[in-house]
Amino acid sequence: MSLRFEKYLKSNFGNTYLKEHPGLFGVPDFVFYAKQQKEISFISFELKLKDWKRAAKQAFRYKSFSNIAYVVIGISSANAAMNNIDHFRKYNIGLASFDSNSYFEILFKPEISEPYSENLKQKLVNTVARSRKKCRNIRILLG
Amino acid sequence: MKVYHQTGFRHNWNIDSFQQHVGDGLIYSPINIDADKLLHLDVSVKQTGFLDPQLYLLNEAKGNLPTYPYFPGNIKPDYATPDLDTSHLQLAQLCVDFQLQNSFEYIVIPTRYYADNPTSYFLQSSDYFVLPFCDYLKEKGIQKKILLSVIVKGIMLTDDERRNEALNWITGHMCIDGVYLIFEDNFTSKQIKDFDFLLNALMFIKVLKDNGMEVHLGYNNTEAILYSIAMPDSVSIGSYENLRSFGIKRFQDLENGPMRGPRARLYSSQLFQWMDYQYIDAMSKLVEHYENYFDESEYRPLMFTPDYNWQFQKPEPYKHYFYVFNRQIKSLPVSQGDRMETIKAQIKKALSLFRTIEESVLLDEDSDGSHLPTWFNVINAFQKEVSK
Repeated sequence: MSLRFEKYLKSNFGNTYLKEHPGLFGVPDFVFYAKQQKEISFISFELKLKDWKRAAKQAFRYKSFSNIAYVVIGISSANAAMNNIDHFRKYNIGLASFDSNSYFEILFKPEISEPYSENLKQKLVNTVARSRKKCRNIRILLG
Repeated sequence: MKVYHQTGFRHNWNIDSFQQHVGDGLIYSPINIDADKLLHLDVSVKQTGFLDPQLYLLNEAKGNLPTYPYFPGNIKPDYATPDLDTSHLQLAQLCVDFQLQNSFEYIVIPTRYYADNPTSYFLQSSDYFVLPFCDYLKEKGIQKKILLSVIVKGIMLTDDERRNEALNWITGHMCIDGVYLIFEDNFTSKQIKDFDFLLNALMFIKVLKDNGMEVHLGYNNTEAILYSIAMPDSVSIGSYENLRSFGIKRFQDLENGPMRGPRARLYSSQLFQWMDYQYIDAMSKLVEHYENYFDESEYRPLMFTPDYNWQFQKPEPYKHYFYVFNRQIKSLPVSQGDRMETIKAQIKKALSLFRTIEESVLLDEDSDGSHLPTWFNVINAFQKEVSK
């Protein structure tokens, strides 16, 4: 799932992402960054075939350094997660499904919020500040 | 009920706290402090404490252990179990003499650790440790109280036969005044959430107390509060996680790969939990009056400044814990019945506080209150046992 999703991210949004970046709060599968003028937005993704509950807890941690955090769940478990969409709403965590044909669907798009930890956000900013890579289609993820 | 500092790495934090009247004494850890340095510590920081001799792996030369005169490798190079046959008296004398030289409150008889105890474990422990220690102390006319180190393995709690064997052995020694009791903890979660383990641990302590023994519990985390309802004589406080949960790795001289430091956490007495500091950042944005969930201490103002660098090498979160947890233990009612009711009421309140926090902050299993319903049920079950 991870390799396919990486390929999907790269071809649809660009290669402005960090994979399994350590030293944050939890280890997100991907942290996508989008530079817009002087601002950098961070979008984290937690990929899980199933166990949306655990994934949501991990994704919440990523809100410490991200503006948006998504749980990307395997299509077979998407219904179970959708039945608990209020949980995602309550904690403002995004939910998306991803299938074996690389079909990505956003099921719940959360509101953009400031990361809870200024230190962790700055850590990420320092990591990507010199990158000249360009992202695209970012509105799809950010809303 | 007393509170002892379980010392280890950065024992100076414990000594500092003790000198600020936090805790009743210190349990010294030979792997972490050189024998000469210990000998030269002021007697005021030793006379209310005791030594954990740490012969768990007999001849494992971990840390400063080889600087101790009773370390088996100093008696004979390549010392192995069969050598105990010929040198157990010498080992006992050296170990007792060292403890006497340091003026500790108790003399502690060491124990060995096995992944699976051999069938002759208790017999060997009596022959190699208990009898030579007691005989030597009697010969010298020493009046100090004697504690026997006991590692309680999971099977000694769950298997009736093993439990009775262990309890019969411990209570069968006339020269022993009490036990330095360590529950081996193989749980992967930071809090113990196993109903049977906790209830059986309480029953184990109760039997020892019913038999007139002093019970000093080592390597406690927050569950010390729960253990308090079995009325032990002391519980322990420790800084790093390996001092709040017994694991043999700490005593193995391993070729270490890169060490991963623990994440910094802050203890809250109202929540009975150590909370990852990143959640405190989230709480500061999402929970009204978030600071009220955390205790006051002289360390708190610094920790709550925006620039505070939360990391495990910082003393403040640990000294804060020593202060807060010691105060929490000391504030428990003296009577067993009142203590149980008080802790139950506090657990109910903690669960309610967690509900409020989790209205907006989604906590993981190591920062949430998921251990508390089990604790509540354990107290109810223990109350029933006590009233039988």
